[in-house]
Amino acid sequence: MTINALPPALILILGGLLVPLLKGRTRQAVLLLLPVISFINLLQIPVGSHWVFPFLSDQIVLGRIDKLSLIFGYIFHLVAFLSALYALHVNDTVQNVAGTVYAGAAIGAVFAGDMFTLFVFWELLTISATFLILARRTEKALGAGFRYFMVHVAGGLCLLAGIIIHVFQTGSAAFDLIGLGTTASWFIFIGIGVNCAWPLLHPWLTDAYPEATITGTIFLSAFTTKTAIYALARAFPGTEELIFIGGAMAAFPIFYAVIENDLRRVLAYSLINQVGFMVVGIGIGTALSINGAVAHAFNDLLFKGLLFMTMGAVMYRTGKINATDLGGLYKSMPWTCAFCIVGAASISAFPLFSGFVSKSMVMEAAALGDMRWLWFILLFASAGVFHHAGIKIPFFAFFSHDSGIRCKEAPPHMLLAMGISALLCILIGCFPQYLYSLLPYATDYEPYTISHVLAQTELLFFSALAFTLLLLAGIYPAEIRSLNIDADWFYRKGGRQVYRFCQWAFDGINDWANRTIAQKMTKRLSRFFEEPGGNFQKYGYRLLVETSGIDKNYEKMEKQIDIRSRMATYSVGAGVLLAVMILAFASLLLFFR
Amino acid sequence: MSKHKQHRKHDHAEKEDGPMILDHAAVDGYRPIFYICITIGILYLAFVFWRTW
Amino acid sequence: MSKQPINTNEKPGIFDKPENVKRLLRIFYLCVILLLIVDIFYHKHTYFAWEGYFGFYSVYGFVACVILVIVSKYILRPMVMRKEDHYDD
Repeated sequence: MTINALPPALILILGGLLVPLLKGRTRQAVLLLLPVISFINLLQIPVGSHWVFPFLSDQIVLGRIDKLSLIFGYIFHLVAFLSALYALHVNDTVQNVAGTVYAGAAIGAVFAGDMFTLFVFWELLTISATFLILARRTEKALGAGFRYFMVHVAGGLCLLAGIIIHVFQTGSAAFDLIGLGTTASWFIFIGIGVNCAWPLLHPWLTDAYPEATITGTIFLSAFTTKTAIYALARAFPGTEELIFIGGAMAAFPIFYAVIENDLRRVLAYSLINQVGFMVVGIGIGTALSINGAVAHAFNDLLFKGLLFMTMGAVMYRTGKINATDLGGLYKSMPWTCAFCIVGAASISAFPLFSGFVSKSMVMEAAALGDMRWLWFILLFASAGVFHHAGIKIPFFAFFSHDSGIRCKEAPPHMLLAMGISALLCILIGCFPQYLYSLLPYATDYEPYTISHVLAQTELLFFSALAFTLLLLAGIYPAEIRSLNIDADWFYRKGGRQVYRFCQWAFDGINDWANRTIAQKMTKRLSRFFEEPGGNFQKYGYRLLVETSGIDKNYEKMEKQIDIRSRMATYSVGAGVLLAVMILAFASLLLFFR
Repeated sequence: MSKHKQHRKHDHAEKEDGPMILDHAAVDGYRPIFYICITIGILYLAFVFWRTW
Repeated sequence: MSKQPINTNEKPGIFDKPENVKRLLRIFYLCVILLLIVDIFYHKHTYFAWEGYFGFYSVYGFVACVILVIVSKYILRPMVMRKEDHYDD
């Protein structure tokens, strides 16, 4: 069939690669227009599988359009546009290209109908994201970018191994429901898990995102983890393991977030926490929970992006991002402050803000499944997320003590990007039916029941009360400029220890071999072979003397041997015997060499 | 180009200077209130779960 | 843009006045109490039995946050906190 459209990822990727040819205003206009054109292109594509080409014994599908891929496609375009708007001032070719291609790769991945296409876009995500980190051009960013790349290459290889085994075993490369069971499925599962920042696989996220450029982090926070969520929703819905993984993801990062000083790192931890809710939703696997996971991904892209934008604006104007350095900025940056509070209210799931209408779906799905422990963990995480992301971020940046910093309000394009995001957060929160109509399963879910609104408001107000009392009682932990070790210790310090151990062990062997074999042995051998016959006799005689204990005439005898061998005054028979013995010794040496 | 450089500068958070620690001093009278609240809270939760689990 | 001596002629922000902070806190405490009062008179539709108890969500939210902060401060921080240059050797 023929349709008047291009494959969904093509415009952003090709357009992104053409960006270096443009300059100034034209480049800015193109960067803004690319997501718009790409979106209009997407709207032209009817539901179904398009751009199907034969590949090996199978086929590749560049455009699988259904409800699940479409909602991710829509929000990815929207966020790509908002990020481009926020990054309008950036006149750095690396970032301009990497950001656009990165968004394109994410869109390509969610519309991929087969695993090979998915894998190619998956790797393109990694490469372009690495450039967004490296573009900060600091030593720390260089290290973080390198680690990011290594971890994702490992994850990508794991995914590839799974794909190859899967295709061999099933004979099909179609990317559909896989389900956990076979070896191949485990490889794919873990490969996706790396991108999804599962516990222990997660530190690339909290390591790299706060080290990326101000605008790069906005792009980064959007695409990699949400593409992984899409892949899980497609291939592993209802997998029980995901419930445990997601529960852990929702719970553990909030502890780190409380004691973290770098505010962008606080947001990185809360990003893992939010993705945990989505993973749980996919793990439960009912229509309600999958809808909740997808809706929460949609909302998270907006409010997490908004929060990163506000912190980016603070960093852009003040050059600082540590809680110890900031405070009192509400006077200098009132708009940024207001948008930050909207983002904070959304992530905390206040009624009338976007998080409320999606997080509650996952919670309700857990309650309906009578998973009480999970429900408690999620409720704990809901209270905790308000505590660290909802209160800590705005409070320490904009209120708290007066840091003495006076700066200008964020530039207009940043304010516009933040303003649109904030407006959408409120609109979705007030009119969730538009979001619900895009979800993969039809739903008549109603988030605004009195019970539910009252419960959530109580939870949040008393979390705020806890914060207030802890702060005023002087128990709230001090903000300290420091570093909190995480699972990346294993490859940052541990890796170095392994390296050191190897260095010690192998260099030791090398040294020993060098000393004993290369230096001492050759010296001795060469000394021995200066007078091989005489030395043979001498050592043989010495051995005899030492073992038997007869040592009369020993020195005299040795001298005699010396003289005889130097003069070569042997009788013929003795000479031949010596020669044979030396040859035997030499061949023995050669044999064992 | 100079504009570009200027933006580059802001990309580097100056982590060298600035205070090492930002402590939160206690306000008089709040500590007992806090202790009372948390004790009541834990006892009440324990009661609720004892009745319903 | 960067640190300047605080200008004494500058218009003070609303939170520079302690009485404003106090007022805000008072409003907040009032909201908290109002919520509890509403909770007495409204019976929630629940999935779990404990949800129906008076102020369950309030107490849970409060206790959860206190535990979160205490565990972070007294257990996690001593375990994981290092100097900023921990990895730079």
